Amino acid sequence: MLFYTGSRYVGYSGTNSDLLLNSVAMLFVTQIDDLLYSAFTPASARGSSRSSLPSNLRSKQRTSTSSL
Amino acid sequence: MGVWREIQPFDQNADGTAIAAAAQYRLPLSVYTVVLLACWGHESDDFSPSLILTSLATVLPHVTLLVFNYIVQIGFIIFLHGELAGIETCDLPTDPNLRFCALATFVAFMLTEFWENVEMVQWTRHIKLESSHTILSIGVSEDAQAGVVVRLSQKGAGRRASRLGKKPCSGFS
Repeated sequence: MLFYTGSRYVGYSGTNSDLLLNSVAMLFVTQIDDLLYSAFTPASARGSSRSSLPSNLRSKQRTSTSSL
Repeated sequence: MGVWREIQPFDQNADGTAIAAAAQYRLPLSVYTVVLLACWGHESDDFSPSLILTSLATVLPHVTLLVFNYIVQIGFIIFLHGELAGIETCDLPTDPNLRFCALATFVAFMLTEFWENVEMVQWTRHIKLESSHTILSIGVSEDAQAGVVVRLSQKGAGRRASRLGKKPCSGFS
């Protein structure tokens, strides 16, 4: 939704300077969640999300397919 | 033939070396991550009022922030829809190169956001939870010939055992 609206808003800008301004405006709108995270999330919650373990490691391993 | 498989504990290569990870999923630092971790951190079978209140007090601020974020973003989308309502033209006055650069930057940015979401889903899919753990039980069987018996429980047994207050090796003599 944001992608569709944003693309149209940037694409249909009236002048070149409007185009640049609209691009920056759209980046601002998409960055709102990061701004809120930086501004309002307590340090403890930020620490827990930073120290969350990486999920399962996956590796390309050769499996034995030898026929008996 | 090589296939993708999850690395299990004690897995190693044939020569005894550790298996190198080919992919690693990490949570992005965002509001969504905080809400996800806050909700998972308070998953419990204990429904006592004090615990529910404590959980709510911890989770609610993060959920409120997430809802506020959605409200602001949806508000902006509605506003932009209103701004674009009268525009229906193929004759665009802006410089095509500049327009291409601006749109490419925007699309690249949106793709980055999309891949962050994909990584978050992958992390959620592959993270080991208590419900997916198995208990390794080692004990001496009553049958003298069998000797030491090692067995793995069903998935989720760890959680069931802790709920019932049982020790994993209680089945052995």
